[in-house]
Amino acid sequence: MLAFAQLSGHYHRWCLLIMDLATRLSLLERLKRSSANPDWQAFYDKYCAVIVSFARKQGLDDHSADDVLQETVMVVMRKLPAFEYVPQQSCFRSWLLTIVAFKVRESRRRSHMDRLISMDAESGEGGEPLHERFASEEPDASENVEQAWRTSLIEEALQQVLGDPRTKPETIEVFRACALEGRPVAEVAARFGIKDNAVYQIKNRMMARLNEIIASMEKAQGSPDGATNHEKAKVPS
Amino acid sequence: MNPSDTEFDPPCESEVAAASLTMAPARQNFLPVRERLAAAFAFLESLPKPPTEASLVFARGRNAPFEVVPIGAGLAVGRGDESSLCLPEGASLSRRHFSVQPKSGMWLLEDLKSRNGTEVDGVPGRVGHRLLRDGDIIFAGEMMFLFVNPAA
Repeated sequence: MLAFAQLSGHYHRWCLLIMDLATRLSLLERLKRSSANPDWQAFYDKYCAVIVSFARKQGLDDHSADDVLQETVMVVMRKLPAFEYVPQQSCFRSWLLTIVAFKVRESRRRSHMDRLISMDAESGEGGEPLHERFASEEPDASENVEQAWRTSLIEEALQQVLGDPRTKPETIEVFRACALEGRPVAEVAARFGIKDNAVYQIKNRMMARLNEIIASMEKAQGSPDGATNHEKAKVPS
Repeated sequence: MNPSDTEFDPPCESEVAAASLTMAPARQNFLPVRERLAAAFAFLESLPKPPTEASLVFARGRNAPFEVVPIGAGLAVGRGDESSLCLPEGASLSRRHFSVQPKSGMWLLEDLKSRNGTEVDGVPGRVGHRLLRDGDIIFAGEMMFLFVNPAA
């Protein structure tokens, strides 16, 4: 927070804001939020990595991906009180995915508009501004949203598996070589001086761990508060 | 787009390998967005009623209550009477400091050649113009404004 505020040159303003808001929040009922509406920070922690990864997979840069994250959290928190659990209805993840995909498209459209507005500002010529003439011409958007989301989930789980400090670096290297780089088992075994069977064991163990993480993420994403798959949710109309 | 509700099938090996190829370096630090959102939610939680249309939320002074001003067909913010949102309390504001206007279904922030400039949190430097995002925090002089767009 400190580094960010100093870097962006808003440190003194942030201090005022935080002091001011801290006073306000202590005076106001800080926990007035209904229990059906989970803390936005918990939601943020659970989904931020996947949302950002998904947005980047759709071709957005880091800043735009952050914007998608910001806007998604704003929308979800605003609409969450209307979110109702109903069995056999679409789950929270689907609803969230719809919002994120929409925000990605919007971000792309905004970047397009931003460029046109900048060109208008630079040219300074009269006539119909570019941003009005070409506002409807949006760049192509990837339609395979579900697949991109799936890949983002796998990536996020893979990051966790590869970054697990409890796993020996050599185990990770063996897994990387045989499962991710597709090296033959015999070659990997020779490289690391272990038996073929040990390579298979490591690969299977790591894949099982990966699936475990994905299953747990999937379960958590079935609803905003981590409800299980049989507790499905109804999207607010 | 019609996301399916089916459960997530465990990925096959080739799918994991493909994901590892496109995997961007992990970004552990999302602090700027988190801090921005913390401020935005603190603003919103301080309001008796959340805005129902695109609005600016701000306080005229440290002990003043937060106010919500709908942007409607457009808003010019400044210290002078000629601004549609006139804030004489903002000593560091220019007479016409910045404007927010609808533009092709979005909201365009424009600095009106103000002396102290207009900044948006998370965007380096002063902004000449910016299409606002729901939850953006605008700095104009010493004043802060939260942009909210419930229709987004």
